[in-house]
Amino acid sequence: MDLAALMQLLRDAQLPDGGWPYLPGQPAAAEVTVLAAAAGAAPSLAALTTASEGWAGLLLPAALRSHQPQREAADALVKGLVAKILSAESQIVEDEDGVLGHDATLRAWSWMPGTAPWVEPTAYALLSLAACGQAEHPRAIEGRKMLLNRQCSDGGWNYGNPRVLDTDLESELGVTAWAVMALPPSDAVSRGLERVQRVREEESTTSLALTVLALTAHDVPTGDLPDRLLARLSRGGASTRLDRLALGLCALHAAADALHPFVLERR
Amino acid sequence: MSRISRRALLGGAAGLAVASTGTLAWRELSQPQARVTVRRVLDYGPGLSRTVQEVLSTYPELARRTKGARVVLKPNLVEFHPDRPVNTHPVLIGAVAEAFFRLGAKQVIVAEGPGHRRDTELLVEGSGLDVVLRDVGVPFVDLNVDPPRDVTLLHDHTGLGRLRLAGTAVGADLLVSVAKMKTHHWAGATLSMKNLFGVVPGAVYGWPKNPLHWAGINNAVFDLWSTLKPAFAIVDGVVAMEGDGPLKGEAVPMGCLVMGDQCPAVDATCARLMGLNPERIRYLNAAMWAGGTVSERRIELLGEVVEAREFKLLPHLEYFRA
Repeated sequence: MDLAALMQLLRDAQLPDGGWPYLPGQPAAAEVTVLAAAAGAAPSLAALTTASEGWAGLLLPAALRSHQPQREAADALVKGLVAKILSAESQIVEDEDGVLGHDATLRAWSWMPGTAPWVEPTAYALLSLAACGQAEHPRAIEGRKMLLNRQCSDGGWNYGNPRVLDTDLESELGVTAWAVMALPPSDAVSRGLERVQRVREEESTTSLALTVLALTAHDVPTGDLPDRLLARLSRGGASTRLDRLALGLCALHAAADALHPFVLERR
Repeated sequence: MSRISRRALLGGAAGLAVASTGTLAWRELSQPQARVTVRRVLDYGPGLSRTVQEVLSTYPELARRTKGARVVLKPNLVEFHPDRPVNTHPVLIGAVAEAFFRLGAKQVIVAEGPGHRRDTELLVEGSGLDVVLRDVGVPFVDLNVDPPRDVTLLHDHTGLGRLRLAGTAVGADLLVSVAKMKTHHWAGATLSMKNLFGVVPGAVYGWPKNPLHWAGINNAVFDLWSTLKPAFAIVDGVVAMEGDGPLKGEAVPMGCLVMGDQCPAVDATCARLMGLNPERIRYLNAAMWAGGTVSERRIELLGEVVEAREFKLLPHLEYFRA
């Protein structure tokens, strides 16, 4: 299958309400609708509004940025989301005796309002703020500081605990890719990019897609990874889970176009 | 601003109620009699399915309920490391599925929602579970993205009142916890009750499932067990994990499966085999007051004798020793 055929598979899976489910037969899921938008499909405004209510709303402004017609239609929604992101409060914790192994006083973004901030939602929020001209807002600066503070000793990121009870924890490829996408070039990002390039040791649709997205965000050559991803998506065809299909399409677009689905300017 | 300390996070010993002798006697007598079966199983070779089926057949109520039922097996799949026994072994999962089919299950589903890692495709392929499930004709459901259902917590130790839990697990005719025998750096041990964290969907609560951690891991484990009440528990102690569990510990060849129709009784038995005092594991202690059986004298042990051993523990977990 080629890119156009895979896009058609994604479009065919759209629900009557304009959103996308994880699997056929299920109701629309916010994350999948946001990823489908980033991949260039056309969700309804109602579906986008519903999708914006949970954590997937953190990524929505970035996802819509590269698709101008959608962005214009959802302009008020995006403006509201950016305001919400800038005012979101996460739990601030004073770590009395170093049990957490990171600076838990840094404000960033959480999966659910009012709970602890984690790496992936913070990366989503930073991508959206950057996409909407707010990269230098004090909250964005603090968010980037939080990401750098949570880097694991192996150079990548996990969900957000680099160290617990005096023990270093291992990073995870997917989270590392999101963190790298959300950060400007630095030594820390170079180490993160090295981490995602170990993708052959843990190859899946998601890991390939996120590696391509991370590498292309920093203009690092992707080698045969897009081909491997395309082969995997083609093998799965219509039975591929729709979040993976949409994310895979985002990556293939990033590898093929000048436009990155989540990053305003490639670094 | 909240504050956190080791003592608070580990939910220390001092938090457990000090009970009088009379209270202790009442507490023991109030626990229903439970039956737990321990079978000596040295490896994941052929015959595992027959062993599981033999044991399941000795629980008549379970066998009756299995006929025509939709059975959901909830293994412990966290992340894949070829050199560490982090997960319930895929061969055991396949064997349990076969055993339930032989007992007359209409449908068997394997379902899990890992707490830290979102890439279940990688986990299922990397661990070899995909091949096993294909062979036995059983689907895998990722509970992290399963359409959720609102569930009212029966005892509500977390104070959360309600949770949105994965519909596949909540809607099962029979939910079976197929867990791994491991130490756990916060809770002491992760067994069939702690395994229920995987029915909390990441698509709702994120990765990790932080609102539940914040409400107290032990409280959350207790709430999930008391609300969902799995019909059966199977703990994979063929190769267990000691030391820095649940992810970075070392393999222990315990050579056993521990099974029964009451999760607290199964977990208490596992804890004793690991050299732990189950009453010091806070979620088990709470279960004793809510219809769970933990006391040794209220558990009828069936099957074979397996020697307990002193599992290595991180220093701060020494409190859990028997």
